Amino acid sequence: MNAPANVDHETLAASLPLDRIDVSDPALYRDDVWMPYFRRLRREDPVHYCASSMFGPYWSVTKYKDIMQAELAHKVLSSDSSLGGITIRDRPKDLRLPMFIAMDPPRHDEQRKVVQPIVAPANLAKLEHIIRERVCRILDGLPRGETFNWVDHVSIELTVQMLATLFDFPFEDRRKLSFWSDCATALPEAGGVIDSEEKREEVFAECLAYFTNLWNKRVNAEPRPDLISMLAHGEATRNMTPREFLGNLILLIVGGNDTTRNSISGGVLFLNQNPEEYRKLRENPALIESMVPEIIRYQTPLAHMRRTAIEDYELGGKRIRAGDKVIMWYISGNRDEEAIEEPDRFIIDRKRPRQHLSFGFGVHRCVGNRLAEMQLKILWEEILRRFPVIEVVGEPRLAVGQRDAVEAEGVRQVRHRDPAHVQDGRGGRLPLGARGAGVSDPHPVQVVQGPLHPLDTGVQGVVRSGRAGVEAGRRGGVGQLWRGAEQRVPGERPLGLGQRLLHVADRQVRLGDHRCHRGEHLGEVVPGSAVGPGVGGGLRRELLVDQQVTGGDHGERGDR
Amino acid sequence: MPQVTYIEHNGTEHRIELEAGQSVMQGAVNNNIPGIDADCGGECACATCHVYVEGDWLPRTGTPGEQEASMLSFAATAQPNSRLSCQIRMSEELDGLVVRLPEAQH
Repeated sequence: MNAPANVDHETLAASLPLDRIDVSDPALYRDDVWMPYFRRLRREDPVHYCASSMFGPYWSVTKYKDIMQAELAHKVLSSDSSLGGITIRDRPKDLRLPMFIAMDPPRHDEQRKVVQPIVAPANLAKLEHIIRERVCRILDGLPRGETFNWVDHVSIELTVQMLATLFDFPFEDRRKLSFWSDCATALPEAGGVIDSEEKREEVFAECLAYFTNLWNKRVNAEPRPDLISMLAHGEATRNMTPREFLGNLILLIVGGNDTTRNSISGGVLFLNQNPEEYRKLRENPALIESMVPEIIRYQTPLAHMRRTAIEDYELGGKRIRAGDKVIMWYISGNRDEEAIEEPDRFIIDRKRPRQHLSFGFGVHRCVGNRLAEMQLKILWEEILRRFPVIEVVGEPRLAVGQRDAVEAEGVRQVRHRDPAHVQDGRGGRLPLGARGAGVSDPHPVQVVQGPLHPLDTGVQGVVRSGRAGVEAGRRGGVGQLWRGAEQRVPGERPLGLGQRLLHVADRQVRLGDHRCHRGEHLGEVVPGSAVGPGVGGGLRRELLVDQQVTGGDHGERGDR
Repeated sequence: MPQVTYIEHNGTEHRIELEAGQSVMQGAVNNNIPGIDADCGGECACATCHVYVEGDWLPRTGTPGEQEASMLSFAATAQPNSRLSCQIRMSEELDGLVVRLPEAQH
């Protein structure tokens, strides 16, 4: 679908032929423009077939009630990792990890029940005390009156501490957990630390070795209430293969780290975007109770879950065939006007706030949902005791594609915005710190969002030709651009995946060491996404060229 | 109309009249009885309307069907007399039904 830059998405979403709508396009999430496309599908084609996408053909289930039906149809719509598991992207067959979220009953049930007691009411009551103590320590240690990185200081720190406790993992090594989580979800093509599946497997091996050591100690000790001990002693899990152990570890690490972390970040952002709601909350902290599920709905940390049909199946009037990939878009069902009133608004005192799809339903419903809610609840209680306002002063940064979908996670929509600015509860408004100095973001954090993954086949995008007389300028070198290898009729050029067209050269242009010919296409590589065909093997390239170079001198120099 | 008594985990009792055909879950939600979340809205998909059927009412409410049993098997505090209240329809025969609410809905 690759929409050209600066397009009016409301118009495009309304005018595209239905069969051209591909809601798996990473750019929709990176640019935060996914809403009108889903709105159209919900109205006109709620169970929608997309014949061609970077993930191959797939069905989109977009309405709340149809998603609910699909969730309950686990006998026909399988989660099994051997069929592709629960993510839109098919991982290479030999690298698929078995884990209970990507199993069907009865095996799923057996393994899940081994770890489930960790979030049973009695254990949660114990954890509540620990969480509160840590939340207090984290909040009391935050910088006052200056900008700082909320994601790193609070969202990551709190969730990683929690995970370390659940695993009884050496506390000083706890950031390994978020590192492994990030590696598990990284997109190799994004060119980060994990730039290949081999590299990822190396990190996985390190993770497995570390945990195997813990397992070995605990399997020989009395059972204890931590996840590793529970797995080591559990009837259904004590004979797992190393690969299965690894799979379940990754599930628990990613499931416990990344989702709550995004809701912690999202809550701060949404309250800043909705000052009236923030005011209501300050005046009545009891609203935390209904705000927490609203944050989780509005954030929808996992945008989708995937199933694979093992028999023909009818859903929303459509015939899904055995073998078809079915995507349940939670992010869309959570905005379904027929299920939720004013779904696009963030409202902290909804009547039925718990009615949302973010945890899934049926046998795979999120096992940690109460723990997640409890963490958010305690965090907000303690925030309100301390800070009248947490002010977001940076621009939101949405990126796409650094994260591969691991099973626990699926296509994600993450939205972090930082840094945040904490206003001190003891006094008036503190100086705005870095913002006043014109530095908007002294603590850059790469933030990710979106269904994203390697783009491995072509997606057709219609691109209109560049403006007459416009030439591509450059900032930071030609390495940040792609150039079209072949010329086609301007206006109908298929874009490579991960590419966005900026300009069509209307004369010879020299860009760094490269010479572009008239009619050649110049564009950006979508940051963080894979690079499509014709892009010379580049990986992640931050682009940004929208600088127009005026005058003819570039063209002339291009001749030299 | 048939009556149901809901007993919260802390012992508080609520006696409510429900129309025949309504589910015991719906009755709790409509009357704001704390302790029933009913996140899925009655689809038998979440086990957050879990109740214990009191005394000898269980034969009359019936036992869980397959899907319900599956969901209940993930409920942290399930007992032999557990039911999902969205799956119990009120009728004249159930007039006087007593259900207890668990410590928490998981």
